[in-house]
Amino acid sequence: MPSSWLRRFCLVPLLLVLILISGCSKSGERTTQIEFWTLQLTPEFTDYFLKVIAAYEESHSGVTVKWVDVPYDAAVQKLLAAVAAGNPPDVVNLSSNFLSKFYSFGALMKLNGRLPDSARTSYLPNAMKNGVYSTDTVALPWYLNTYVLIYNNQMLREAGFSGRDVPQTFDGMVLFARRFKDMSGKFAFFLNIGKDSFLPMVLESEGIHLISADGSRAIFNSPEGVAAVEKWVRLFRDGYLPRETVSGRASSLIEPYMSGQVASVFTGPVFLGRVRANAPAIYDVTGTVPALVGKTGESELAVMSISIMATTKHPREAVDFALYVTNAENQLAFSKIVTTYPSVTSALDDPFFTKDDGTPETHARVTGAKELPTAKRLRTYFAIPDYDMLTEAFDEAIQTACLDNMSTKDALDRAAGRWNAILRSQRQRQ
Amino acid sequence: MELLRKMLLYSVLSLVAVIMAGPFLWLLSTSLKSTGEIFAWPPSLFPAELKLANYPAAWNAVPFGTYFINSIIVTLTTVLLTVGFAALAAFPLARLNFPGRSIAVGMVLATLIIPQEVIVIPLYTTVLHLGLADTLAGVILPFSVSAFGVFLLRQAYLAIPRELEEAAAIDGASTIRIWWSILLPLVKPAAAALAILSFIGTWGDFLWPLIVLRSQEHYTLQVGLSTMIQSFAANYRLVAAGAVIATVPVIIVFLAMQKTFVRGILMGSGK
Repeated sequence: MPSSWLRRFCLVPLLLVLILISGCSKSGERTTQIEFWTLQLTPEFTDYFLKVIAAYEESHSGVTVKWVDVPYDAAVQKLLAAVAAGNPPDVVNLSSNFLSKFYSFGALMKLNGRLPDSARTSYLPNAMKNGVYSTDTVALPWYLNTYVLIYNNQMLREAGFSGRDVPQTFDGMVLFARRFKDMSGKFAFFLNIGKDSFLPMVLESEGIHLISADGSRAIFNSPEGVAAVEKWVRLFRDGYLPRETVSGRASSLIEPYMSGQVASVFTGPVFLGRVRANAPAIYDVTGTVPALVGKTGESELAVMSISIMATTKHPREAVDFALYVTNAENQLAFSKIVTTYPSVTSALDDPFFTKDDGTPETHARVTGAKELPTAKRLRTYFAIPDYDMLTEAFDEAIQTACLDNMSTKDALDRAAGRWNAILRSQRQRQ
Repeated sequence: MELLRKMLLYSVLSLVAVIMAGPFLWLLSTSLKSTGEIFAWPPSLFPAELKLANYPAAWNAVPFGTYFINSIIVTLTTVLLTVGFAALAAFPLARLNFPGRSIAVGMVLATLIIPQEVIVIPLYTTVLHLGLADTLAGVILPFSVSAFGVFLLRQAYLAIPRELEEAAAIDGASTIRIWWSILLPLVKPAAAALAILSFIGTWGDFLWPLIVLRSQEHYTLQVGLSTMIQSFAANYRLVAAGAVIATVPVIIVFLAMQKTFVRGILMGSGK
């Protein structure tokens, strides 16, 4: 009796472990399974993907798609671990900065020769360019975003201004921010300059390049570069920009606007949805004008893309599925869930992007859509795999110039030195 | 003078308590606010009206129940295995004499200096080859033995007078019997401390389950919570409500075991 009890006692944990293990082992189906990773799209897109995937599986018998959504901040770690362990997904959604990293590891499949001719012409050219590294096409463009300037009409009125006074250029904003605060005592504008700095974008839009044409050295510390950055550093030091413009992350740049601390912010039309959800009173008085630009008139295009991992065992199916997800119909349905823009030209003719019904959200969407044909990636240094180190060095220079007593020139010279060292070691690795 | 000293002490302690509890109170307050209130300026800790509806809304926004059950399975199994293995492994390292014992202790301790981030990829490869990717077993097993736990319990065993063991041996108890009936009850406080630490660590772990798990039905609470943070229309109130729900079990476990916990932590330090 005791021995049988003992045996039973031992069996319980053993069984538990077996159940845990067996419940999850793969069943031996004969179908081809494609694993597809997206960046932080649940829960708003859960129904959308279930529908898109069901429709795809129905029209492609023998293929099943497993969809995994990964939080943005942990995506690189999770994908790196999967790549290193030899177990990556087949199709993966990457932002343009992650793209360069995984391209440099050789983890992305080259799509040259694998795409139908129609694919080359159906996407917006500038969006397609985002996925091309030297001559390798490694990504299909997916959803896009542009930048606009959103402003608080009520705050403008209270300070004695109107929507017509809102500037169109970065230089105009530097002047406006001073006038606005001198008259109202409040901040006119929010732009991240010290962390996830937008100044590289400002410089490129002014026609001041960050890196020399051959990609060998940093040139943002030229006299023009220093002068352009100095305007913003001075604005901050003189107290015309909130402190968070130097210390806050770009992901929270909409918050000072939602709390009514600043009258305008440089951001994507997509953030109007966030304002509506979290600060309805401010949403009601929000107006939108096109992105601030520099002398070139160029504005930034943010591209989310879809790549195929080089290790996939089903390249044909993976490419086919990537084309399916990025086709006009599916992209249009995607963009209607929240404000993003499809990268397929034909989908952009939809009235959803052209017809302004007067609500703040639609107005922002239509304003942003008008920039799509000309917007392009201004921050070309994102194509360098060590873009994160470059960003950090640049951001640090702005922080020192704003908060410590270092001159803008000295700070930028120091950052340029660090950029040159990073670029050099990058070349040596290749 | 005594009163002054006490007042000073209490004010310092209250300050520390406010600093420690501040973020949680802020989270709690956010989770109870209504639309438009979170970003109100100047900010207020007390919501104008208590919006309890955020809680059911958060619960229904994602499959919270599934995440909760998964977290409970993972955490309870990990805690049981961690405490069980540590109690077993620490016993010979503290009490039995065998060649190489100090080397074994040294090797166990040496693993403490390797940060988790470094071993994540090799560990994941191992889990993958064992066929445990995307399973709860894959989340549990690699962290079911803790070097810190072995160390903590070894210190606890060392603090027990040898005479107790000798008395039992004279009465004819076997080594296993001595461990089970004499030593184990005496290291309970330390084991409880280990259980709490292991509970908090496992319950809150994000990176490892995120890497191992790919199917939503296997997600633990922390991984599941992160899917509530949407790219486009983040609703901070729901995220805060979800985070508060996820914190409750930790608080309950800590309060329930608080007494033993403090005793267990202090015990090792006496030696």
